[in-house]
Amino acid sequence: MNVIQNLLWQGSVNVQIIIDSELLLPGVPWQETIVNLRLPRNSYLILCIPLILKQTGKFLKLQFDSNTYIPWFEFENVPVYWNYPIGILFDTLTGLDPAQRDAKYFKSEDMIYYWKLQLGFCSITDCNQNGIIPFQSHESNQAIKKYWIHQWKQACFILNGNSKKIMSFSNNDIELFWQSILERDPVKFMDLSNKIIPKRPHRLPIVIYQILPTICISNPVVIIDNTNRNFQTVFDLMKREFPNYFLNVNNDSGTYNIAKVISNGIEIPLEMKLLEFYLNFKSMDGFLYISLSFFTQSN
Amino acid sequence: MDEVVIERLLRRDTIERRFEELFTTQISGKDIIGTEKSNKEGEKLFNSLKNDIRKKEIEIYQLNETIKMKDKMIENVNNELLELTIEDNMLNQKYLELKKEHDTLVERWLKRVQDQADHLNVSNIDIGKDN
Amino acid sequence: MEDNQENLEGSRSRLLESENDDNQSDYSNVSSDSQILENQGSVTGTIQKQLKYFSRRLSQLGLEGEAEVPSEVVRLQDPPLATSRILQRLPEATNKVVEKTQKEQLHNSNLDEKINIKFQPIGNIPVLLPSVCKISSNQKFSVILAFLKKRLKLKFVYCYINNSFAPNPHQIVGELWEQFKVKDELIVSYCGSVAFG
Repeated sequence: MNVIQNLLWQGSVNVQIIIDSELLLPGVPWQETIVNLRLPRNSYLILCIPLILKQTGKFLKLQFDSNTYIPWFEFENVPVYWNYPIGILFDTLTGLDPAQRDAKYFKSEDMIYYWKLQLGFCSITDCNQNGIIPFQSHESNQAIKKYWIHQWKQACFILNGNSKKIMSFSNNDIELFWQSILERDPVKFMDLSNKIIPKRPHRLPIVIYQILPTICISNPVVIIDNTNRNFQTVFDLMKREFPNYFLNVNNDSGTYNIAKVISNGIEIPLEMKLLEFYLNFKSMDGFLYISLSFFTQSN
Repeated sequence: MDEVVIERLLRRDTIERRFEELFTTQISGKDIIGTEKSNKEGEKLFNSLKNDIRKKEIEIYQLNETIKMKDKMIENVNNELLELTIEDNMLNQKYLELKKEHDTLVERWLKRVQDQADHLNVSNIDIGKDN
Repeated sequence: MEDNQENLEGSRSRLLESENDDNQSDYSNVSSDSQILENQGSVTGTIQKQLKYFSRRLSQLGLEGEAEVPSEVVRLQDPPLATSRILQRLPEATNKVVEKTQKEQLHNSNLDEKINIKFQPIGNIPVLLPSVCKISSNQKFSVILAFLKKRLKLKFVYCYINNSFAPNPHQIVGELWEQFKVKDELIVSYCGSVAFG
């Protein structure tokens, strides 16, 4: 793992989870309803439920089980979909602009930076109405693992043109792959993910998660080909998807871009090659997630 | 370009790692999978009580819904009753009017018949006198 | 030409009647229809041509209406309050461009382009007819799942793309089609139980 990959794997955010009163028994002191967790950007939000239950389980008036109720996170009354990595959810829902954040927080050592979420519940029948994908929460997280494997299968298909590489993994391999994420083992993860990713992928699995003006998640087709010199960099992709926002690779020649590309909490230089971008910045589910942020100062 | 990216990542971490000691970290998968199994009986009782509370809540909600529905039904019945009472009043009034009219008409008819009979009597007496 | 028309009408009603009959009567219809094919100058006799003809006749019978997955209203989701305030701090020029882009996106989604989906059953599950359906490209994959559950009257249906993976139900069908289409169709296989692990 190179330096960049290591920094990305280790990235975590401070998250404060406040349990909604609808979940609590009457008369629970408020201190017990708040859980402060440090969550890896490269993980699923739902995986921290057992840790939350460990601290607050006895104060909850119902149990999360596969047949009736599942946990549901909200940020300022907007549902937070559990099936995307925490990093992208955090970057987009808070509308992260690293430049703004740096200006405010970098020098001030006393300012704490964290994400406040609410935890409620949803009945399995109401799930789909709210856009939440229902799943069965067992202690072994099997359903989440299944969803995650299908994400990898889809990514494998995009990278290779078929899902053979991952379908040839033995059950043991798949279990090890999953465990590498639960146990935060970067070496094991790289070992197994490198078996899936070809040296010269034809297409890249990329997801663009927009928050403004409305929430919009898109999966563009990204074909990279050494023969096509015109489609190699991040800028080429953004110019194709958002021609109104991205006009120039650098901001120092006449026309200015009005947006920037954010991934894993930092602004990405537009000259970066797409393949390199994918290999370094991809998430633990095989996809590379990007969010957009607008320049607030007329630069 | 690598240096730029690394520098940005380090800046990000400086901000995102501040006060991390206040936030619990999941150290390993064991945190996710393992749960303490102490005091099983107490826990069982506790869980069954919680289930009871939940069931009661659902029952209360359903009863409230039933009450709302019944209220609506009562309102409907009351409205109907009101309508019928008004109709009844109207019909009563009409009946009284019609009865009055009927009585007037009977009286008139009796008077007329009486007049006719008197007239006949008078003419009969006149005829008797002539003879 | 008139002869052909009459033949068409006649065979159409015959086709209606023969819906419940066995194959024999179907073939007799096809052979009389192949006369019309000959008149049109195409080479007859291959099964492919016969199948194409069959599907054309079916569509003539007005079954085309069923070959479309009903669309759900696509709801735009608002960002969290604090984040939406960022929009107010943007320079005027940026806001104009954002508005313009949003209008363009809205216009594009209102064009209501339709894409083809080919349904393939796996294992012991009723077959969906017709096997190729159209759907608006801006719909989510969950709409297809709901459609299958309703049509097949099953509580659980598992869908896979190209017999390989189950996509995130929030994904837009149009994008899946762009990425994974095979000869202009998105191949969705469905099963009553988990087929691909």
